[in-house]
Amino acid sequence: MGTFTYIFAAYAVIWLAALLYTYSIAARQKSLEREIEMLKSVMAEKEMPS
Amino acid sequence: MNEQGWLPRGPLGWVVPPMMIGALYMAFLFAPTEATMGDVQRIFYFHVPSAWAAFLAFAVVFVASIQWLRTKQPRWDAMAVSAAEVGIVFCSIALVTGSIWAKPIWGTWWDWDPRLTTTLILWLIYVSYLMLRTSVENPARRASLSAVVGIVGFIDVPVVFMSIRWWRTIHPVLLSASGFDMAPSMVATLMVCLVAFTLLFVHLLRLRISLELQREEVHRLRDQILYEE
Repeated sequence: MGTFTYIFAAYAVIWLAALLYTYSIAARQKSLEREIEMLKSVMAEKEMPS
Repeated sequence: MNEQGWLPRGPLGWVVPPMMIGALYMAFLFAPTEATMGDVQRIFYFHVPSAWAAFLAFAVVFVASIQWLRTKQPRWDAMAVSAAEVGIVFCSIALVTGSIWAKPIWGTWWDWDPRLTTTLILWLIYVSYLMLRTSVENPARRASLSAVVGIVGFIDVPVVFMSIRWWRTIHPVLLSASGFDMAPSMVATLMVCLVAFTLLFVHLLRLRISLELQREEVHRLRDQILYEE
């Protein structure tokens, strides 16, 4: 392997790790936001007089 | 004040990308080619700051763990677990980029050198920290047990730093008593990269803490629904 292959591989690992980790946080955040909305609507339904 | 009101707000999300691009510019176009290793030495400018960011993250775990044990405020536990996860990401980057750098220079992907071995142990300590958290149900007990691991585990950070001074090693010694053993333009490049990675770390930590607080909100709402039934 040439020198530039090693440099490319190292920098690709860094940028991929940073991007994938940011994406993973955003995806988990979205899923939690949905769950919070769902739980809030369940609570609102319970509080409504029948 | 909302649940995340204590988190610092600011334009960090807008500052980090230009800083990272600036760091890339410095690493590839500003810094001179190293005489012995050649261009492959440019890996160093992102490898060292990754290790630095990991150390910083584990220092945050250490402080937040002490604060949790002192105050029992959930925000310290949220900060500790978030910093541990971000620290593992940076520590993984440091290990992988170090391995890629080692191949053309040492002729091997891995060597059981003191610096590499202690860094791998550091990575394993914080992976165990996260694994421990998944195995304990009670939130307060989970936070206290993991705080103990977060405090004791931090002992390995100075060991990693000092390993190349205490034992015989093939890993280069960057910082000696007389300062950096590099050309001034290389030191300047390293400093820019260290600042960029520190900002990236703070940004990721902030995002991750915000996620942890949302998770706590979900648990709080679930409990509220269950207890009202």
